[in-house]
Amino acid sequence: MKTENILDAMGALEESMLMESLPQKRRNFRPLAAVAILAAALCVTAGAAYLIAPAIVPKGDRQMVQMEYGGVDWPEGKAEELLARAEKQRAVSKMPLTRFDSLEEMEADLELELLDNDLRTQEQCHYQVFGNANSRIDIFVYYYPWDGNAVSHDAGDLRVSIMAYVNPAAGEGIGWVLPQKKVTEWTQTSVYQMTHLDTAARIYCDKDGAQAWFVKDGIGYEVSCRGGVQVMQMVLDSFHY
Amino acid sequence: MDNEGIVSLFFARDENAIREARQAHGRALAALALRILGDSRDAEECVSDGLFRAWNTIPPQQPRDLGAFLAKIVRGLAIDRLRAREAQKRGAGEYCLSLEELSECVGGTDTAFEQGALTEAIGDYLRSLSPQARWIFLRRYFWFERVEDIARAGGFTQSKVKSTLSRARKGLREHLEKEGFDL
Repeated sequence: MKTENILDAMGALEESMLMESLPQKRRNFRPLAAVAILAAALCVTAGAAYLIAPAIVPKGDRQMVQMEYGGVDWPEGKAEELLARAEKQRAVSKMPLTRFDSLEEMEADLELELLDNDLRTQEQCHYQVFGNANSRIDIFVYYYPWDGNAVSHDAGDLRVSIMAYVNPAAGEGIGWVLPQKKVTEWTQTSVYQMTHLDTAARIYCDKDGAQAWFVKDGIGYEVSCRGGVQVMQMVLDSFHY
Repeated sequence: MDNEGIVSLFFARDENAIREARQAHGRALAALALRILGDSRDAEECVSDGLFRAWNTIPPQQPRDLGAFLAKIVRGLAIDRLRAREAQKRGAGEYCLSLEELSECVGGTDTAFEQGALTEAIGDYLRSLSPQARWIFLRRYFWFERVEDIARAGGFTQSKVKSTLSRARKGLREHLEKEGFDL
């Protein structure tokens, strides 16, 4: 069979199917309701950081952000407040959400993304998963490129890392973005705190947007955020980098 | 005028049908043909030919959606025209790029099969995809839109569109093999 045969056959597809894809029609693939709040929490990391970090962290001591919210004890009502802000931010940014049928499919998607962005070797890509010992909050950090214990920083590329705090059981989570040079410090601190993993939220950022992969009840999800770079730049600005 | 009204003009053998159809769908049809042929004059001729063919086929045909119906005609005409060009086999344009991408689905050899069955199998496969993946696949391989345009229209990153297409092509190959096609 030749490739032309495939394209020819597609030319005879039912019109009802083609109608769905008419170029005049723009599609807005909205989030799945069942995981909207989790998606929101993951995808508005930037906005959340902008909103909360300056308020709760003494200037010059940003690691405290992680220490406080990455640990077991969230301040009374703080998680709900942050999630409400996250949901509001999500509604503004209109982020699409992709559902994968299996974890394997999601993993394959992630690999494709890495290849597509010339992150081709394990040496260049590294991610770590941290779980809170009390299972209150699980954390996944994904960042690149990885160089031993240090994360190299390419200022011209605006590559940043996203940290997410997720509590799938409660359907809530929150996170934020930091430049890679700060991630190293953050990671070194976290390694001692976090000891196991139940669930992972996978966060990945590229130049033309922000994308997140995460798992809930054994099903993988991906979230895309349009204009992610601009949002992240806003966060970087908020941290005075 | 809406599609229903235009189709009524065709049935009434009112030549305004062609003018109205061109007004309603001409731009999209020309864009489709241009993505295949890469030449605006050829594309316009394809649109005119397509509208003429529609005039000759409606009635008896009664399209469910005039836009999709005309697109199928113009798409076929544009591909035929492209194939008629010598030394254009691997030329520029989204059609040729699509051919390259889809080459991973098939072996590239001459094999016997029934075209209608292939269309049905592809249709079945597309129906099994998520609405989002199906939308991306059709925008690329029916409408021959560029990846960046699909990404913009759907609110995705380009890399997401590429990865979705890659998965869909792989899935299509597996589906066709399962359906007994000799790829």
